Formats: sequence, C-alpha cells, structure tokens
Amino acid sequence: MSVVDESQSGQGSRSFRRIFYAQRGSVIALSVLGVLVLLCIFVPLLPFEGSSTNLGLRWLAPSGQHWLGTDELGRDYLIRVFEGGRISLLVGFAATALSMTIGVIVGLASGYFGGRVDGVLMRGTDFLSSVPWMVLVIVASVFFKPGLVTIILIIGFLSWVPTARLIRAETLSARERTFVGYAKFIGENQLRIIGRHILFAVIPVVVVAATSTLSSAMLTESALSFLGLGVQQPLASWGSLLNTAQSSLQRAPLLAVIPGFLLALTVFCANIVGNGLRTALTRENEL
Amino acid sequence: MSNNLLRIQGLNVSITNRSGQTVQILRDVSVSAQDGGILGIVGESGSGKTMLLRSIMRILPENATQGWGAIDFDGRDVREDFARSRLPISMVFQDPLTSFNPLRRIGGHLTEVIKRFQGVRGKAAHELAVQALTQVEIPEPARVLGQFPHELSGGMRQRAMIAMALLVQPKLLLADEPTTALDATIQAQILALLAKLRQEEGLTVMLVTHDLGVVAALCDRMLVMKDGVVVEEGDVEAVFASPQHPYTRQLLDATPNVMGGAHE
Amino acid sequence: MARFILRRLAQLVPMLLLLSFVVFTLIHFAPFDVINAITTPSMSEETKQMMREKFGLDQPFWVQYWLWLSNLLQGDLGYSLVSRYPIADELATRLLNTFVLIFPAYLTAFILAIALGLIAGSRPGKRVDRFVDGVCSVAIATPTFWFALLVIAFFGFTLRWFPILGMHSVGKDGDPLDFLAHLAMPFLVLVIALFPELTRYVRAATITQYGQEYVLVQRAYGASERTILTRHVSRNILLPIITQLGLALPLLVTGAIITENIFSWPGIGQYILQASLSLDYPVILSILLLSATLVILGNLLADVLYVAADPRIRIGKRSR
Repeated sequence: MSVVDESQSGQGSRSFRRIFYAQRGSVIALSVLGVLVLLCIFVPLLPFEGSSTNLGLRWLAPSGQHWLGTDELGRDYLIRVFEGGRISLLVGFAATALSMTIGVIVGLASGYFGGRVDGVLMRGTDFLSSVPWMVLVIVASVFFKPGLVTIILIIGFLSWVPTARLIRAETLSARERTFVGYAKFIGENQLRIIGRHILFAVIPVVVVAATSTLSSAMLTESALSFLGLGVQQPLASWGSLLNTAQSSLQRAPLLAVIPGFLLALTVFCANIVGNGLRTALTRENEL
Repeated sequence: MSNNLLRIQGLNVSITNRSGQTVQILRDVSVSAQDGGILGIVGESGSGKTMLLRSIMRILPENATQGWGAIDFDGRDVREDFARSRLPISMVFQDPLTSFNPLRRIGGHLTEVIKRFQGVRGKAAHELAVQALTQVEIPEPARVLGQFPHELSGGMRQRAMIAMALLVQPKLLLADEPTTALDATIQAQILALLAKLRQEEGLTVMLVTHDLGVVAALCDRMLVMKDGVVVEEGDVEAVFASPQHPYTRQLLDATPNVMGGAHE
Repeated sequence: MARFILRRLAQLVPMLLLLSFVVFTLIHFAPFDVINAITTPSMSEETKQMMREKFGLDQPFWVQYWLWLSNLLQGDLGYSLVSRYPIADELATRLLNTFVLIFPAYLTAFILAIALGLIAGSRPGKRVDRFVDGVCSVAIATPTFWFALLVIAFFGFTLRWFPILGMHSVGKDGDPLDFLAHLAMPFLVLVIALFPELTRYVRAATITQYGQEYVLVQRAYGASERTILTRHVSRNILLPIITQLGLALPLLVTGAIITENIFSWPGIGQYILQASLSLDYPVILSILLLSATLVILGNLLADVLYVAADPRIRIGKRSR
C-alpha cells in the first residue's frame, strides 16, 4: 500500500535498532536486567562483613549495618540475596545456552533435511511434550543426584522443545528462499549451506526464543529449589532462599519478600525485552 | 445521461503506521459515477482502488484519516451527514469465502441485513432472503439458506454475497474485484449477473478490477489510478482509442487484444 | 462422530504402549528392588525368594513387562515403597482432593480470562488493553510459590482470616465451611497462576478474529460494534477456546504441584513430591504414567471438541 516512500531511511539493522530504541520499555527493562546482573556478580565480592554464620545475630531487622537484616543463621541478607541471585542467573543462562544449542540443532536438522529425519525428531519432541513439564522435571531430578550441575542439565535437556519447533518452522521458510536453492544448485556442501545461509536467517528467532527460555528456566530452577529438588545447601538460589524463608515466614516475612521480588523483576524484564525484540523483528519484516 | 449518482471531489486518505510515519494513500481523488452506469476502476495493486471503495463505505482502517472536498449523492450534498446517515450503498468484496462469518449460515447473514435495513423479521425476512437468492439465480434458495458458507461453491458464495448486497436496497453497488478469487467460467457468469442487475434494478455499479478486458466488456466509463492519484478518466471507448496518460498506454500495451479478446 | 473418536482412540494405543514401556523400563532399571515394597526386613531370604517367584520378579524383562502391563490394565499399579499401600487406592483419594481444588480454580480463571481477553482484544492498544496486558505480564513473571507465601503472610498471619495448612481442621472433616476456609488461599493462588496465559490466549484469538475480512464486511453492512462482538467474533473465538479445555485435562492432576505443597493440600502434587523426596520410584512413575495419559487423552478431547464445534469439519459426510 505504500504510496509515498518515507521508509527509505532505515536499512536492515539500522531500522531494527531505531524501532527497538523507540520502545522505551524494552530499553529500561534491559538496563534493569543489566544492573541486576552486575549487582549479583559484584556485591558478593565486596569486602563486607557478615557473610559468615553467627547464631547470635539471627533474624535481625534491617538496620544501617545490615540493610536487609540477617537470616536464620545470622548472615547478612543483602549479601545472601545477591549470592542467591548469582546462582539463579547462572542456572538460567547456562540452562538457556544448553537448551538453545539442542533446540537449534534439532530444529535445523528437522527443518532442513525434512523427510525421515524430521519425522523421527518431531515424534521425539511430541513424546517429550506429552509429559507435563513439572512432572518431567521432578522425575528427572529423582534419577540424578540433586545439585547445581544436575539442575542445569535437567532444565537444559528438557526445555528445548518449543525452540526446536520455532527453528524448524523458520528453517523451512528459509530453505524455500532462493539463495539456498542457488547454493544447492552450485553444489555447495550441505553443512556449509546450513551454517552460512540458514543459521544466519534463524538467528533473530533464536534470540527471541532465548529470552523466553531464560525466564522460564529461572522460574523452573526457583520452583525446584523451592521444593527442595534443586540447588542444595550451602549454595543458595532465590528459590532455595524462599524455601528457607517459608519456615520463618511469620517471624521474618521480609526474607520471603526480597528474593521473590528480585526473581519476579528479572523474569518480568526478560519478558519485556523478549517482547520488544519480537515486535522489532516483525515490524522490520513489515517495512 | 450525465446525471451523477455519486460525485466525490478532493478525497485525501492517509494512514499512520505504528512507527508514526504517515503515508498518503489517496491524493486529491475525484470520482463520479453516472446514474445507471458501470464505472470501471483500474490500476495496479497498491494504487488505492480498494481504499477508495473503503472510504466510500466508511470502513477505512482505524489508523487512517480522510478528508473530502465535496460529496454529492443523488443530487444532494451529503458531506455533512455522510458519517452519520446510512446511504443506499453496498459493497461486494473480493473473496466471498472470507467475507462471510464461517460459523454462521447464509440465512443468518441475510436475515440480519434484512432486519437492519428493512426492519423485517421472522418469516417475512426468510421470504425476502429466498427472493434475493432467486434474484441472483441461486438454485434451491431455501436449502442454501440453511448452509454454511464453506458448503457452497465459490461462484454460489459470490452470488449469495451479491444477494446480501441487494438486501441493503442500494442505489450504488461497489464491487472490489468480485471475480478475482473465482474460476474463469464462473467469472463470466458473475459479471453477467452484475450487468443483468444493472439493467433490471437500475443499479449504478463501481467495479474495481485489474482486468482491462472486463472493463472493455462491461463498463461505460473508466478511471485509471496509479499511486493514489487518478491519472485518467473518461468513456471507455475514448480511453481505449486514445489514452492520454503514459501509464494508461502502458496498461493497454500490456494487455494484448483487449477490445477483441473481451468480446469473444 | 463416534467412528472418528474410535479411530482416534485406536491411534492412541501405540502411543500409550510406548509410554508404558518407557515407564516400565525406568521402573525396572531404577535403583531399587520392587520386592522391598511388599516384604519386611524381618522376612527370611527364602520367603523373599518365594514372593519373588510368586510375583514373577524372577522372570525375564519382557515377561515382567507383560505382567506389569496386565496388572496395570486391571487397575493395579503396585505398592508404594514407603507406605506399602496400594498406589491405585492412594491415587484415587488424592485425585479427588486435587480435583476439588483445581476444578473451581480453573473454571474461575477460565471465565475471568474470557472476559478480560475479549475486552482487551476488542480494543487493542487502548488503555484498557494496555492495563490488562500489564496485569498479565506482572502475573506471568510472578513465581507462584512466592505469591503463595505473600498470600499466607498477609491473609494467614497478618489478618488471620484463613487457615494455612491442609484441607480440614482436625475433627471437622465433613464441615463445608471449614473446607471452604481451607480452600480460599490455594484457590486464589491458583486462579492468579492460571489466568494470565489464558487471557493472553483469548486476547490474541480476539485480535485475530477482528482482523478477519468478515468483520470488515459486517462493518460495511452497518453492524454495530456490539453485534460484531456478540454475534460474530465471540462465536469464532469460542472454537479455539474450547480446545483449551481439552488441553487443560492434565492440569487436573499436575496443575497444582507447587500450590499443594505450600498449603499441605493432600493431592497428587503433594504425593509426587513426597515420593520424589523419599525416592519412592513406583509412586513417581505411576504419576508420570497417569499424567502423560491425561495429556494424550486431553489432546484427543481437544480434537473431538473442535470437530464437534466447527461446522467446517464434518466427519463421515463428504463436504461439498
């Protein structure tokens, strides 16, 4: 319908960026996410006192010395919360990386080769998704020794199905585009076609899928740790902090409020950034 | 003969997209439809043909703004109450399958329009619906009323759509590429039906098409649009004989044997 | 219709068989000995050996699978390693408990979602839409267990309105008011957990429908916004929504795992978590089998509902 072409200024990634920055919400969310990550990385490194246990200082109220008070073993809760955040984010990012790797490989293979490869892989994903997510995770966590690495592996290995489906669909449409046909025609190697042409085409979808996988991975980790199936003592994540806080909820509700709020904030921001990216992508396709 | 049923002058329509850019879709468009005639509107896709019809029907997208110079309908200046009053105009759309609500029967669609435009309900409405279907030459009208849109063939669906348009009791019928989605033989039937209705009902028709053969066969006057601007207007034969605008010439050159081909 | 359902059921059989095989393999190779569930440590090795033979546990893998499968089809899921009760009995009781919690919660969330989704989706980009969308975004990002803790801290500890644990107070097993008081907080938590995704779904479906050509046509034929919403759009939205009901079937078992555990609600969710913490493999795998069966049946239900509701799909008759 374009009669007057006023959209010539934006080319490729430039217009993408312009639209993304036009969405102030996403930018704010991204900044908040960045600040949270930095706090979780650096606060536990600061030379504060109070990261050791001291039973004389249990459940102190917030004060100038302990901004968020102390926990059930007398540790400074501010430091404890950011230590927990560190583990939560670590699990989130590591599980997302694993999940993306599997999802992209399965999706690419399924979409590019089609036929029998596609049939087998998609039956597999159907089978995997026929068990409710939470049950699957609980069953998996029973068969392995609970711990940091286990939880990353479990979430990573069980959360790639939606990504694989997305990548498969995107690969199918990328495969139909002419340059792939041309590359095949001039006899380029299959793996090179995938690596050069198709992978490049699906990267935007991967980025968007990664943000939603990140937030669901963090929510899953916290739920499992909350139920006692995830990160084990003395390590703490936001979920396991909430588990501990549950037993002293009446005495010290703040211990439950803080980590849950930070978790919700992180997930919220990741979702907003993901939505922003998705909108920016669809608009760029429209222009 | 030179009585204009609808005369529009200086129509401007622009659309603001989500990134805040404004694109002008129609620029200073003037149209007149002669009473009882068929006006053909041609142009490539994106030239604003459909938007012209949609702005006459007042169903522009929400992000569009329109401005008029003048609108006369049936010899009356209707610029003031154009937005409020319901003029006797109805429209037939491109794809009859998507034009009907898939989950409502044909009868439901027709009686709803009858109730709205003629204030008739129940059995009387049913009778009117049967009449309308008969008028557009649908066999077994009573049975068709009980069918869902997907149960009809493409040609029958478009006939039913025309029947629904007639139930508005229009003086002016707008048709937006009404045969594009149909098979070639069905196309001819639908166009013949439009010609018949013009004859019998004294309908005035504005027919958007990209097929110059259809224009040559059916229309009295024609309008050529490009990029939201009317580039040429006139009697069909005059335009075909000596096109003034280079774009019209281009269109005619791209359609071999238009005059001959259409009459075969 | 009946033939369609039968045919679909027949298609399910291989899927269910594969599932049961996977589950049995997991049971078989899980690090425990089934015989421990039905014997006591005081029994002699000879007695244990006799029981082993009696239950066919000395048979090869395939024979055992066959035995297990035929027991399964008769409703015998074996015994819990911890309580030594038959799993099927325990499951039945707990299924009912979960059902009375999650059914009203899902229904409420469902109705709420339809209302909010229609309102928001019929006015995309307007203030009410942005508000609904904002509420959903926040609710989706809020971890259920955290929200549950806040609810307990506020309604349970500060206001002292509702009891915090269990389904009944001691000695008040049949008292409906006591039951409702216990239901209140987990119900609230579940509604908040369930409604945002559903609302988003209804909203998206509504926006899709408003983009359809028939809405434009109806506008051209003078239909009011109200008529368009009630007579045209809502019918078309009902279709995709109905399929959601089928997909919700497995929620009846596993939709409240976290909530049940926080509120000590004696349902399936609590059962599987207790079992997983005490490594009660037969119980865990029974619930795995149950929930996967429900997913598969739920998909079937969704298909059947869709076919029943959409006139465009006619089974058995040839469409013209």
